Amino acid sequence: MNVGDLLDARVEEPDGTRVGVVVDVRFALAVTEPEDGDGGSGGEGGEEDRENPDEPLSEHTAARDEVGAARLVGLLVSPRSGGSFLGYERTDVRSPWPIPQLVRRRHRGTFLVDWADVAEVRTAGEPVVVRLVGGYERRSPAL
Amino acid sequence: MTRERLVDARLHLLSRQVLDADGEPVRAVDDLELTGPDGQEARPGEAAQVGAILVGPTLFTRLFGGAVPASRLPRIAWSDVAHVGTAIELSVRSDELDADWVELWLRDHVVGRLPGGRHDAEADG
Repeated sequence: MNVGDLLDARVEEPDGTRVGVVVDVRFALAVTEPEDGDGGSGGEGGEEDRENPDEPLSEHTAARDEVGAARLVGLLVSPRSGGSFLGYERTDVRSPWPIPQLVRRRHRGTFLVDWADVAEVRTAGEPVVVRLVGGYERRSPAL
Repeated sequence: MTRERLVDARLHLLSRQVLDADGEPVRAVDDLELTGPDGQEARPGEAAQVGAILVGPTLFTRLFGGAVPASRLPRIAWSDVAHVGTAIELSVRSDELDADWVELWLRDHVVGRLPGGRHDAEADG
């Protein structure tokens, strides 16, 4: 199963009632922070070194956080639009007016459903159908 | 210190540029393969994670419809990913990846046979 299969899939309740469309798939990245003062050019000196174009990118990727597994958290389901959020589910973004207001209005009622609440994914037909378990929980879509 | 950061596939991962350990662009993220903890295909409702970044020639399917079977798409193991930011940075060099096999094959079999094809223009300055 791929993320592309799940995106734009039709979401149904156990009895077949249409709930909405999968607009995004959420993951939790395990991030390991770099230890402070690690290596010779740690601290503020490290910031200056990043400006040096001759330094290979790998030098400073090593000094930044490192990602581990990307755990599948759940699906973002919009009852109205299959379109993208454009990032406005992050509730503190208000500008440029009136784009966030319009996008939020189009996606009102959007919720996050845990992957554990997904009972079945039917990839055979078109569109793909995601069936939820009975008593699934509608969570906040905020990041 | 390890913590969790939430990312959304469409917002933060899909279509992002993939860079290798030297900062060289590899490909863009076309899709993400989901796997279970045992490395098998992800099952609904059970723990799942990203197993690989799928990269591939999707231009034709985008123009003419249809889909390339996921098993035929070149992949980059998620364990090779070092950092997720505006680009996705790998901890390996692109030469070590199968994802570039078309480019490597063309380099060895086509470009390398052209007169001057084995000459490194940047090295000679």
